[in-house]
Amino acid sequence: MRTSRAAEQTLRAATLSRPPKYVCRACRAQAARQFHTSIRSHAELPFFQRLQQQLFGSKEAQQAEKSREEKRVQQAEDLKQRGNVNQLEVKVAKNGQQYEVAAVVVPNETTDYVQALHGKELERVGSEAWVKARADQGEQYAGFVPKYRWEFSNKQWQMLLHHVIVEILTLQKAGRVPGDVCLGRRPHANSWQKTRKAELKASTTGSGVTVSYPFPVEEERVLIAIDSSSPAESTLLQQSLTAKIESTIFVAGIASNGPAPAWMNVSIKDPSVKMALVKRILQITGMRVPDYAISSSTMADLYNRLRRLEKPKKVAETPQLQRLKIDAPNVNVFPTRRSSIDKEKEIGRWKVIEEELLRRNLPVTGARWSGVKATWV
Amino acid sequence: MATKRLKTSATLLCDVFHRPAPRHSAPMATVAPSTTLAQSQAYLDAHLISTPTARPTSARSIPTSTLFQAQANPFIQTATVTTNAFPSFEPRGFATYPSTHLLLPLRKDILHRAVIYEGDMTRQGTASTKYRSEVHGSNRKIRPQKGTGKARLGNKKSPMLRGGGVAFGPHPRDFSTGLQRKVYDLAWRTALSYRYRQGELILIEGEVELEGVHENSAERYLKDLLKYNRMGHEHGRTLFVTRNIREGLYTALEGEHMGKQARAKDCADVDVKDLLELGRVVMERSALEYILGKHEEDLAPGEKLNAWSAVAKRAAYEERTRAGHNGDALPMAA
Repeated sequence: MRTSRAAEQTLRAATLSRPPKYVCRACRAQAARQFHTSIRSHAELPFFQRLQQQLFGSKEAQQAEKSREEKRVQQAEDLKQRGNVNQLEVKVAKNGQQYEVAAVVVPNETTDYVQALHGKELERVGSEAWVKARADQGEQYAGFVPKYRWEFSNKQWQMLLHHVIVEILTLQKAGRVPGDVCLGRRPHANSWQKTRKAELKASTTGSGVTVSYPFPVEEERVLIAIDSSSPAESTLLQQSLTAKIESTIFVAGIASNGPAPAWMNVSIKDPSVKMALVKRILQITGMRVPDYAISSSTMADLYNRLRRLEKPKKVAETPQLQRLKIDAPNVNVFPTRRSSIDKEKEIGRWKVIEEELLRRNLPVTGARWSGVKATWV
Repeated sequence: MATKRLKTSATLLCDVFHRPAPRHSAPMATVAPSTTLAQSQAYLDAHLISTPTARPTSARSIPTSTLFQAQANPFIQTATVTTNAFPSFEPRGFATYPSTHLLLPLRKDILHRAVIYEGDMTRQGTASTKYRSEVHGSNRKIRPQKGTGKARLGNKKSPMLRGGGVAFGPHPRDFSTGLQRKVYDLAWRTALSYRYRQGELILIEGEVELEGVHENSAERYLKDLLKYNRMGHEHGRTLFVTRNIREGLYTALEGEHMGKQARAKDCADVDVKDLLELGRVVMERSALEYILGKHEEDLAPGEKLNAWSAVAKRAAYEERTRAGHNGDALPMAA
């Protein structure tokens, strides 16, 4: 028994004749504490009562178990009355803060409860990110720029610009504000099909440009489609419009290869037209028209600044090498490496050399010959 | 000595110098305009285009006599900047500025000088070592001059000995250099012109502030804003320049790792290097006009922003009255 062994050691240390080893204060105090002449619990309860408690349990333990059982039953009844496991009980702590009591789920009774097999799917609590997420008030950002940005080819840009400018001029012609082009569209309006047929002409009065449709009813339908009561175009509608632009057959009069087509000589000096154009392009494509491009006076200028220049396929077509001809006329640029054969060809001697080599049954070209590479002096 | 970052400017300058040229660069400011008044191209529609607001003029500015009216410089063109709303970044109108302020040609040498000047100015210069005279110790000769078979030594503070002083080590000093005021002002406007020409200058009408957003949500809201508008870390980061300190915005950017997304500075604190460093600059219009007005020392009085805006407004008014517009008569600039 621990107490007797400790007591024995203490007595032994105390009674030893030889000089004792150093015993620290803590060990001495512990030894003193451990020194008992009898077992303490024997003083509290008699032997038979102790035996009884060990076999049948004490009254306090029984009462505690009984109260726990009552609480469990009470919780289960509260849960049944509330009817929903997800509605947690809300209590008020001592500091006045409200908190939710975690639900007690009995797997045997709850049929829709599924025990987790591993911890990956369970909610992790207590991290700094978790605290921030709980404190977050949930304000959502809503911007003007669409979520996605589309890239168009040059022809697609031409079709898109035609569609937008026709809508804007149609609105202006009808006496409406050009900025209305950014309003929502009625569903199934298909203005895209109608604006493709519109024609842009210089106005007879001498100022500005007019838009004309083959049938007046189409112009009315385009105007009706732009409806202020409809919500601003959602991402889905923008995607469908861009899908139409991407998949459309290019109309010969509107889109062309190379520089801007003739209809693009539309003046966009009017700031309201310019603003409507910039906003609508941003709304559809997600592309912000650069500020230096906004100073354009015509649609052709704007298009030339927005379109992509095709990359030169060969190094010789790059503007740097094209400029070299002017900057350094004494420099020659060749597409391939120059060998001694090319040098001889320039002089005009290669034909003779080739004939002679063939006559002597010698190899005409070969990498093993040391003199095959030209040495420039 | 100012306490700021100690980053090298080499990588920044390399980035500016070697950045590929834009597909279509804006026209040079030195190209002569058409015979008609250049400012008349800036149609001053009352609700869409605006010129800079006039600052209170100092005593050294041009006289405001009613008999004298400054004539327009025919070689000055107009730079049009779109103004946007915040936080939606919806285009709202246009603002015009003269080419002397936003259409300057790229002068890499001037930008280099300005960045170096700012870097020197912000050095702490607090590195310090002890000379042999400052090291604690006696001056006793530690071994005889001759007879030991070893090198001759004086005191133990010699820089050749361990524990000795540093021979030519650093001492706290001022590293600031000088740069002519006019060159520095030109550098400011050149940096802004470069950003404008690249399409990386975004102007905001009003204040850049997170209004109606709780401080607990500000960081997440700003991250969403930057992600939605393609202005965050993946797109080169953004610098917000404000006229005054904006508590909500600045507090949101103090969060962990927010420095990788964006930075915010007020116009008194921003440098030329800051304007060139990040992917784009989102600036309040009042901040831009403050900076432009503060850095135009190299311009003649008639070319300064105040004078230009007055002349531009008058020219546009004359154009509109000549064309017979029925719109409201624009008020003459004071």
